[in-house]
Amino acid sequence: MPGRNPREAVDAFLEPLKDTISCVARAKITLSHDGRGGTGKIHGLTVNNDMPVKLTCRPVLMLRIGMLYEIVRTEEAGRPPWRVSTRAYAYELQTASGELVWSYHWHPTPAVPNPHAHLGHTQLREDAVLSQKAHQPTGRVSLESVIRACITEYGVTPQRDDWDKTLALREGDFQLYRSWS
Amino acid sequence: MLDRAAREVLGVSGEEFLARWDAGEYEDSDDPAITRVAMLIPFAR
Repeated sequence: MPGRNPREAVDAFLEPLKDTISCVARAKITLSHDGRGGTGKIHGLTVNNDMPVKLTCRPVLMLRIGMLYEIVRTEEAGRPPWRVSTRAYAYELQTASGELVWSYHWHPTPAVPNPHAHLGHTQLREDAVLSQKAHQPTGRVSLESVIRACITEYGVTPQRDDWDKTLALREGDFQLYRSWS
Repeated sequence: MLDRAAREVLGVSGEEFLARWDAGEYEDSDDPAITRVAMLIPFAR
């Protein structure tokens, strides 16, 4: 979502993320140096200081969230001139012992330019064709949809009563303001 | 943060990871472990 200046744009970017994360956990978002105002550089965002967040479910699952973003100036008519553009994301669901269950990644590099998923090897049979290193193609995956899947598919107990409405609202914002699919 | 992750998943220091990253050693890598650490580069610079 746009803002009148870089700081406002970052605040508008963070607010829905905080809302979304609060549906399953209480965790702090940390930004890299000058992450609220620095332009012309890529910033980092982690949740819980890059440590996986413990989710309320049995068996215990952990979620690690990381993003890269840039504060960019836009020329969109009728909108404030600054916005945050996501440059990469990594959402990783782990077991309590830290083994990967799955992860959704997008980190544009020549080797792997598109969004994809990895499946944890402990979730696969010894003779499985799938491997943890394989990049299963996906579309762009929102944090909101990942949090929703934690609740609806993996039995995580929501931490707020209005989680469904909140995630729907924030997912709507994501669809409206994203700059690519 | 980056140093901890680099040691945990790649067995190298954060400093060494950054040196290899800057030298382009990871350019052709599709290893998810590299991604995991690379996401933290802005926290080290």
